[in-house]
Amino acid sequence: MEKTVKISAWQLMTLLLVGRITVALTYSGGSANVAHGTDRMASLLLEAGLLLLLFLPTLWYARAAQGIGSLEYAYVQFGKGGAVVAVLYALYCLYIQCLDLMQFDRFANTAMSPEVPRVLLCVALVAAVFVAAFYGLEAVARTAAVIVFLMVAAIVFLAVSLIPDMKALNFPPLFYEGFTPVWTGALENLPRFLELGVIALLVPHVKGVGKGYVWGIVTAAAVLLAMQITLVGVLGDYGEMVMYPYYTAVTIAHSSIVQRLDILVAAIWMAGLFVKMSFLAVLFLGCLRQAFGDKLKVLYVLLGGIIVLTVGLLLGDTLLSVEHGYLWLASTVLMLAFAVILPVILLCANALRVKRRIKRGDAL
Amino acid sequence: MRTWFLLVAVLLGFTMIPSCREKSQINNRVVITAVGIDDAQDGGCAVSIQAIEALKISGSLTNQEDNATGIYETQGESVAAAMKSFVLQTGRNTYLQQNRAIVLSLDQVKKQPLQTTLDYFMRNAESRPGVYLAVSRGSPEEVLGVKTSSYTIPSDYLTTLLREGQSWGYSAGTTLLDVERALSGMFDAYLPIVRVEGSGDDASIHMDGTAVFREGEFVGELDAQETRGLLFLQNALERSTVAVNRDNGASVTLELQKSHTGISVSRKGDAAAFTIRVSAQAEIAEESEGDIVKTSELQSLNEQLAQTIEKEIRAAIDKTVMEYGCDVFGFGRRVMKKEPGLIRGHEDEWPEKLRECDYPIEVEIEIQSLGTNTGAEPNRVS
Repeated sequence: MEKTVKISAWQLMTLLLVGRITVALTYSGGSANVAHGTDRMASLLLEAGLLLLLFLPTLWYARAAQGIGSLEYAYVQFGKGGAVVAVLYALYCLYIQCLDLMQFDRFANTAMSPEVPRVLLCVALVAAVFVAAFYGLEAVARTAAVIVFLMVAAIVFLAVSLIPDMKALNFPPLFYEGFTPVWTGALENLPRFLELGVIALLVPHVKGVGKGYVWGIVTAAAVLLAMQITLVGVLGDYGEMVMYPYYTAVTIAHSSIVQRLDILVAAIWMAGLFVKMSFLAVLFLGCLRQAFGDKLKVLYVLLGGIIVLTVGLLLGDTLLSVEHGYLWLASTVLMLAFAVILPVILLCANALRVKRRIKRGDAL
Repeated sequence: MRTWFLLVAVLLGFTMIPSCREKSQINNRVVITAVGIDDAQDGGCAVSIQAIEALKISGSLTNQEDNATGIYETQGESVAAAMKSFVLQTGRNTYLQQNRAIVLSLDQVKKQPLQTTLDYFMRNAESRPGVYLAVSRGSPEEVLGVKTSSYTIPSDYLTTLLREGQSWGYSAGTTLLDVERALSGMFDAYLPIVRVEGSGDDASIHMDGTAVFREGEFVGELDAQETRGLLFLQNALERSTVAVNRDNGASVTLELQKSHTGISVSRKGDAAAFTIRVSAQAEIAEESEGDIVKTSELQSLNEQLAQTIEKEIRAAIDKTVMEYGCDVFGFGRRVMKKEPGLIRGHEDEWPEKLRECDYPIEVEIEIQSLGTNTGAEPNRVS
């Protein structure tokens, strides 16, 4: 990661927004047996609130560290032991990418028609993603800004073209089964936003990390709400019974002679996935370069791509079969570890170090 | 590095283009435009497939002069098995994305619930939720075989009939998505019934009421008046013509426009009252016997028209709710939204409980004009 590279808060917002929208396309309340329909809308707002709450440790860290990224901070605190943190961050990035690829592979396999050679599609995607890692954070952030504009425009267009197919009766009553589905729905979806764990890493690379994150979450909540209103208005309770409700709702969208707009969703997803995975690939490469130097950067990228492809394609079905069980648990633990525990550990380690130095009478 | 990457990306892209990847020719694919499903008597089902004949097409479909489709027959234990056996028999792959209609025979819907018959289409990623559904009184093959000089693809004729029939109040147009919504438990399903009249080149498709289902099982039919009552209640009617008989024996045909129906729910003891309010505008389209309606008579005509509409709506409720015990109008869903305390925990009892509910109907019609006629008395013949 180039230390001089700085992206704006607005660019961070677009990066996070792209990630959230991409993940939302795979949401299936029915298979998770949690909030759906109108409750899911309330659940989205609650989820946004929780994500803002979970950001507090990172924000606290960002203020206390005065612009130093968590990785650099780990090196300051633990010396060469900081390399362990770098490797952990790199693995965390690969984990998120594997999850995304698994979801995309399943989507390409089950919903896309006519059939596409999914392995080739995934290979092409991962290859493009890891090559994009060489272009750095700024280039990916600029791409995100363009993609997010197209994504939001497409979502608005689809919503408007589906208005004639929406019916008030399709919206189930809010809180009909109490608040529990809303709460479980928010919790079920929370660890799908794993980017929260890498925000501390970005502190020195973003001008206004807090502002970018907050706006990213708020804007994403608004866009996801629009998507949810669209799919519930069109599908009603049937949305629970299909694997990709938004995609299914969009299959009936048409505007004038323009029909079969589901391809637009597939394109949105591919573009979003590319940006999200590229962003993580940049961070992955940055972490390994910091830990082991620049010389083997091509090898890091190759290794990363092979790991993501192998896990995503070979273990995808097995891992997704426990998506709402072990995988959810693993993601939650990892997200909390990187977003909450790590910043706290770093700040505590610093406090301890300062205390020791004061005790020893060393200069700070 | 970048050049190599671009080269590899372009090559990968080429391999993903279906036409480069697949070696099959267009005449090896059967582009399905309509599917008919009938009871095969031996426990399975007979599937009729209306498909575009690639070799009959010259240029684009819009320039086609004659019918460009053929009908294929196949059988199997299930729809999926029949489709599979069709592929095995002909060696041609089916392509479902252009499918416009699914026609089920009355025997088939009586034999098997909708969720079983339509499962293949609901699961298949190629199948579109906007596909029109209909029940045929005779064999679905007959319906699929009706050709018209107005359309190159006969299923376009069927779907136009169903769509227009709904907006004019003659048929309860239903898509696969409507049935999917119904089967998710929101309300009960209904499908339009069609029949074929005439034979050969003179054959034509006619609307013949509505088939009503309870949890996917066929329970009975609605006639033309009840069907229009159903469309009024569903707020699906755009315009319609209604004939009203006057006291002097003459009849006036009115054209309804801008019809709108609202249903409000209120609590009535342990049950509910569904107040149905219909408002519409009308215009005199035709008078029999040249007996001109005067402006002063519009009020009584308004009342007569309102009574006719109320009667049709009442007939639809009596048949579906009271007689068949089903909830095609989503009354239960409305109670859930407006009076959740009434239904929560007793959802299963509600279709029965709907029989105890009240359905007051208020119809407000405004006859806007006498057409281009002024209503003045004609001069006496000297």
